Amino acid sequence: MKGRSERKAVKEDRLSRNDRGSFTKTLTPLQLMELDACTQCGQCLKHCPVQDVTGNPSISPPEKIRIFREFIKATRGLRARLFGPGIDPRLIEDFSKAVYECTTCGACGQNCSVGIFTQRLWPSLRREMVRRGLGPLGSQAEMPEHVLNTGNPYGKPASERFSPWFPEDVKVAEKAEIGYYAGCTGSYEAIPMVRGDVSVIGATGEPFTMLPAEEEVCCGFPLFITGQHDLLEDLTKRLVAAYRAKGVKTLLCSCPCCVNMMSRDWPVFYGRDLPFKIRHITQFVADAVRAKKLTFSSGLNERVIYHDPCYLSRGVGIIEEPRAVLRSIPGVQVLEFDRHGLRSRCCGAGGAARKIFHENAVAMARLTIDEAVAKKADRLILSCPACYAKVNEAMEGYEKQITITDIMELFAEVIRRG
Amino acid sequence: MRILLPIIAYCVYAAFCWRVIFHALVWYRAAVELGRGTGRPHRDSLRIWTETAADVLLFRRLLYENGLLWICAWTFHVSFLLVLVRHMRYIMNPVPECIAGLQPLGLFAGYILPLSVIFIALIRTTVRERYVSRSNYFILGLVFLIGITGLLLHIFRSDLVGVKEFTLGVFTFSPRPVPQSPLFVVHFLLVLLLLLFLPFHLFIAPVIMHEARKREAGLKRMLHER
Repeated sequence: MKGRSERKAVKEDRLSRNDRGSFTKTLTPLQLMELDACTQCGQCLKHCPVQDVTGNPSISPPEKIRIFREFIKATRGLRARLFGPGIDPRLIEDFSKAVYECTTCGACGQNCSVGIFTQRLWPSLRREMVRRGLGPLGSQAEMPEHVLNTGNPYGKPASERFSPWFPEDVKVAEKAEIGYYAGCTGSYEAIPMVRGDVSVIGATGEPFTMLPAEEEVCCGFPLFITGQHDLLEDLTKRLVAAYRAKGVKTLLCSCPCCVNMMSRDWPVFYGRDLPFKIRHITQFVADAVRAKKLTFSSGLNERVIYHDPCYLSRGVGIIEEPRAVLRSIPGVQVLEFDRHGLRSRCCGAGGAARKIFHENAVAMARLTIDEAVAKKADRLILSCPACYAKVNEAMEGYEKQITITDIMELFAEVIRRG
Repeated sequence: MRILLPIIAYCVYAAFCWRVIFHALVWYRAAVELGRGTGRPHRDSLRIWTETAADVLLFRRLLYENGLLWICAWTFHVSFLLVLVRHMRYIMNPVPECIAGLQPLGLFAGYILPLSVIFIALIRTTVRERYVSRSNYFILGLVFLIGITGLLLHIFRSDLVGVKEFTLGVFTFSPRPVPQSPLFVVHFLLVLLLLLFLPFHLFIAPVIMHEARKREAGLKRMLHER
């Protein structure tokens, strides 16, 4: 007879084999139901920005869902139980690439005839690919190490996080009820945006605090979105504790991805409600304008077109405030993209795919530029550092040109004029 | 055939039950294994339930996306339901008055059903952003064939008493002779095949539609709580 420890070892080995085989480990029960709920109607294809530039249905949302269902069936279905799991390794590799080629903008889910929350489903599928050693792709794999060593996913020195751009005339309090989180992409790749943020917060006269450059580490979003969850709990707890120690009651941030991570995922990784509120910078500024804390007499006689970042509109429902901020500037006429608000089209920078699938991202960004130019806008207004970096990059060498400005960069300029 | 057809029917029924159990098991296991939430729970309300009901019964989300596909898909599902109700008379004895009263409507729906399938297939294969998987083609083709064979059975007046005795026998686990109609056998086998590959979104989509409404209502409060 087998001994107790031997039986336990056999049981553990079986559990471990099941664990490796299962494709349902990283999905919530609701997400598993969402996979079943897809009617395969294909209506989402016309909203998918990746489809806009590739026209390849094999990497479309319903096809990804169909294949993932097949994976579950192949590992948990009757045939798998009788004859063992059988999945073509090449199919799973192609699937993994398709999942990472997505910008996770969530337009497919927003326009889904059932209402599947794809903005959260795709990152979960990516997490499954990471668990299987098939993801992340390219430089995405270096992000955890960069975050550990430098605090940001780009591997840039922490000492250069604020110093190259922080305005000398803006004072940061040691402790304050308002905190500001600049974020990695803004600090290193979209400097006019974060400079604009602190200039505008400073102009309200409200005391605000920030963490030292070495302590303001990555919010975790790039790791979350690429399916690399190992560091997330630690990052969240470090940041929450640091802001709490500074007496922060409201944490401001302008990066839609960070705001999304903070409001949706930090409470999960922190284990309870956060001890402070999260607010997008445009909410704070719109309130300040209403309360007449920000006053200016000069205007701007321009037609501006505002692009809704996917993780700001579909992610956390901030749609009206950026428009309110822009309309508060005398003389500004706000134009809309055909797809705007909850239905906005991704500029191509989402899902940490902009550096891996560079050509796709540039092509998507150029669609945004094309429409802005066609609508005869004087300025394309963005409010996301990733959008800002990618759309600017896409305009290099492109025949159509338009002035690209971050919303706070513009507002800071108007305030400066007085 | 007397034994074979009921055996096939019971095998398909068992396989269908297995599929239901398998799906329920997957969700249950995932719930136990994962045991974590996805953030703040969404609040429910009468308004959300009303919107969900409109989404489920009127396919409102599809209406926003593609009016032409919506009218075909809605007609398809309603006619399928009416045909299904019409067929209840074969497994009920006596036939309730409400089922008997719906017979003419069910017959009309029987003519509409294959037409709606043709239109759905046409729309799905001709739009620019077309996406039709093999399983789509399979299900659409299967329903079309079921509809056509059903209509032919009606047109050629098959042995209705024999059909009822057989289906009632299958449902009460006391098999009776198979009607002497090859067309009926084909129709019956096609229905069994459909049961085997019945898309599960029929059961789950309403749940997800409700979750989507709750999420959309919650989105407005996401960063706007006091």
